[in-house]
Amino acid sequence: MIKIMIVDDEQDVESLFNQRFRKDLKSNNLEFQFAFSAEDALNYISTLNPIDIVLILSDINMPGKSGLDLLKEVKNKFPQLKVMMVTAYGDQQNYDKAYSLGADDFITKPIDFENLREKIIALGGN
Amino acid sequence: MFKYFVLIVIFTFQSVFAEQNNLAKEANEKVKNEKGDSIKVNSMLDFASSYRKNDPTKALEYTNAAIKLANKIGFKEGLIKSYIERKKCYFWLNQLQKSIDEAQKSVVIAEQLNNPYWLIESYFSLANAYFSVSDYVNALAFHFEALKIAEKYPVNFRLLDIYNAVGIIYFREKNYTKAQEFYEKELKNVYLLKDSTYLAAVYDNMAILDENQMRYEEAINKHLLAIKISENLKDTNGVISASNNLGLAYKKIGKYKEAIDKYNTTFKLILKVKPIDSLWLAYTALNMGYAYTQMKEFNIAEKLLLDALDYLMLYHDNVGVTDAYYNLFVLNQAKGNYKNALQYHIKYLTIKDSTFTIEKAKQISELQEKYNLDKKDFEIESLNQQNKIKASEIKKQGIIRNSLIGGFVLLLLLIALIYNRFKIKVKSAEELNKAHNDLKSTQQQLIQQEKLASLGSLTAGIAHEIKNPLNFVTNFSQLSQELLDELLESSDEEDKQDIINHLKSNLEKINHHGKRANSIVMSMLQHARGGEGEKQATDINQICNEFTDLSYQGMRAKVQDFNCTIEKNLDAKLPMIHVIPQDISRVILNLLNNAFYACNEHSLLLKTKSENVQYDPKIIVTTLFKDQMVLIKIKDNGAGIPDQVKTKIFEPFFTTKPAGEGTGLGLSICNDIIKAHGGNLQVESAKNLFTEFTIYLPL
Repeated sequence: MIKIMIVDDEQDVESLFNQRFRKDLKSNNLEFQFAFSAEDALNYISTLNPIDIVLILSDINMPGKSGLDLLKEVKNKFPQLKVMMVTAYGDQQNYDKAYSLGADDFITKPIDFENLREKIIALGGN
Repeated sequence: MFKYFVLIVIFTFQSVFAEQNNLAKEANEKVKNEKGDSIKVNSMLDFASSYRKNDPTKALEYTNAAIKLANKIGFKEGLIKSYIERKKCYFWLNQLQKSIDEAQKSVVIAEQLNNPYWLIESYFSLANAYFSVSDYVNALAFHFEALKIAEKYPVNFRLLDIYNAVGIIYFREKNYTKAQEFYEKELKNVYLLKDSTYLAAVYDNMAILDENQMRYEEAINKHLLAIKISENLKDTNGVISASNNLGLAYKKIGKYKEAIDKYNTTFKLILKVKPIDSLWLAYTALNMGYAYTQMKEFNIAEKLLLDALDYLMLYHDNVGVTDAYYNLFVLNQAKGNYKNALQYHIKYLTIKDSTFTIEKAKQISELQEKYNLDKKDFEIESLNQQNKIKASEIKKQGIIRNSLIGGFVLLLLLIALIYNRFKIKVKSAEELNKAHNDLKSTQQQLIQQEKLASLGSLTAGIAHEIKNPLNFVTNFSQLSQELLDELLESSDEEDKQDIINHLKSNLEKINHHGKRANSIVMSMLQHARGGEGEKQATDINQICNEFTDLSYQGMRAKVQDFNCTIEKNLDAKLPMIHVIPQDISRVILNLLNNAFYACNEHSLLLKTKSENVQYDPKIIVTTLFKDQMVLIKIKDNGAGIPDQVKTKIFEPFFTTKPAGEGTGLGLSICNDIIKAHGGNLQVESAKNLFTEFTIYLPL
């Protein structure tokens, strides 16, 4: 089973992801952990022992710490964790910055869920 | 011809100067020799008045000394006389307010002394001081105070002066009936005093009044009368002045031949009077030149005008030069020499612009008044001395008459200037109106610009804010479609129920996010439109929520790695209030934008200073209901506002942002909006700690 953390200040992403991956969740292939701010996410990860999540899917624009800040801290403290950035702006600046901070992938909204699903399954395969 | 006159004039000035020096010497010796201190005071004042015109500063020194001495010996009359002298000194130093102050001091002492002569003198002096600053209300008031007393006593020259001054003020105020009344009073009393100099002058004055009301025939008759009286008096200066005025009257009604006739008389007479008044001659030449132009005798006209121009330029008489250029323009146009006409017109316009600004015209007329009034004062003083010193009687009478006539000549010029000024005033009123309209439209443009600027900073935030709900609408509707397919295929009841629950929830979410996007677009439109908003019950908390996010996203779009903690303490029991929502949201957005800007600036500043300082930008938005007021507080932990800046932040166009970044109108408009709602906008700040804006809105 692949455990994935979703970080977004929009609370409706929980419902969206749960429905999108309804079948995978039902068959216990996937498990989601939702955090609605970067701070919440970091707090949660620091309580994990061992760290059982393999991927963090984070929005960039959030009040307080941004997704890029989260990326920086995660890559600093938990280099083994994979981080995928999601943003509403597909601008070059964010893209470059995300990769320079060690992001594993970068996707723009609206999310292509089929594509995302393939990427996640590929992770499980590894 | 004119060069010759110049020489004479120079000689004349020198001899006058020498005479004044002698006078001064005499006064100086007097001061030395006189034993009585009160006589010393009088001598010092004589000394001062002899110096007044050529060296008012020196005259002031002597007057100050006289005041000191008069004070020491308690010589009240001397003190009044000194203050009146000092008033005149300041007059010549062009310190008109001080001149009023001095005249007021003389009034105070005269009132203490309660002596009718000194009361009249000091009131008259104060009235003239007010006249010189065009304060006609006060000038009239004090002339009337003086009149109240003066009319109780036998007719004297001062009474005539007051009637004349009041007449002039009414003339200036365009109250021609009243002006006429006072000139007539003057006339009646002139007969009683049997002084023909005054008589001729008052006729001339009345004639000008007639001219102004287009009673040209009466005007001409009065001028003729004035000429006759002056001729009988063998007062050549009087004849000159009246003839010239008659010439002007003829010119006005287009009788150029008669006008030239009169100017010729003037010309001849001017040459007879020694010393020759060359400026007067030049002006006569100007008038003649104009009349000859009208009669199409261009050669004579041109010669006269060019001579006059040479002379006037030599004496830097810009008013005259302006006239000369204009007359030359008219001449060349009439001749059909358009090239020259154009050149003179350009010269005329250039010098007119530099000479006849409203201020200059005012200064000129004030200067004319100065001569006029001062000369009259001089005459009264001389009259007083006349009684004392018999020997100098005849000589001084000459001075009186000359100065009087000079005074009236200048008065005429003054009246011409008044008319000029009136025309300028009408023109400047139009210009003022236009400038006012321009200003208004510029103001509107600036406000619109400010709106667009803050809208611009919003767009990025809006893009993000709209994109999110739209994504949800798309996603949840797509999902729902898939769920429906599943529902149709599924046979499991539990699964079916699960899908139906999801569908229901999704439809709610689509509805919610659709509304959310709509509300954002609406508030953006309202913000941009503005102006015509109506007051309506408004949820302040909702505005705070919406715009805090918009403003933050806007800032984030501009500054990529900008982070800020946002704390919202919104009072759940906050009542709805009646405000114009788009206006209030503008204010809140503006304050929020400023707060985020302040945090970012502070953060950048600390970064350049040192790497080690830990700074966490934070913004606190608070709403609360207190004492029947809704309070909205927006606090940032930026650099704070220095005290010297704090007093200016609500002033329009004040900005601390670099050029081109801020219009300087944001807070000024915020303040206006809150004031218009009957509320209050306040700021508190501490250096390097915080800035907090508080909006107070009444229920």
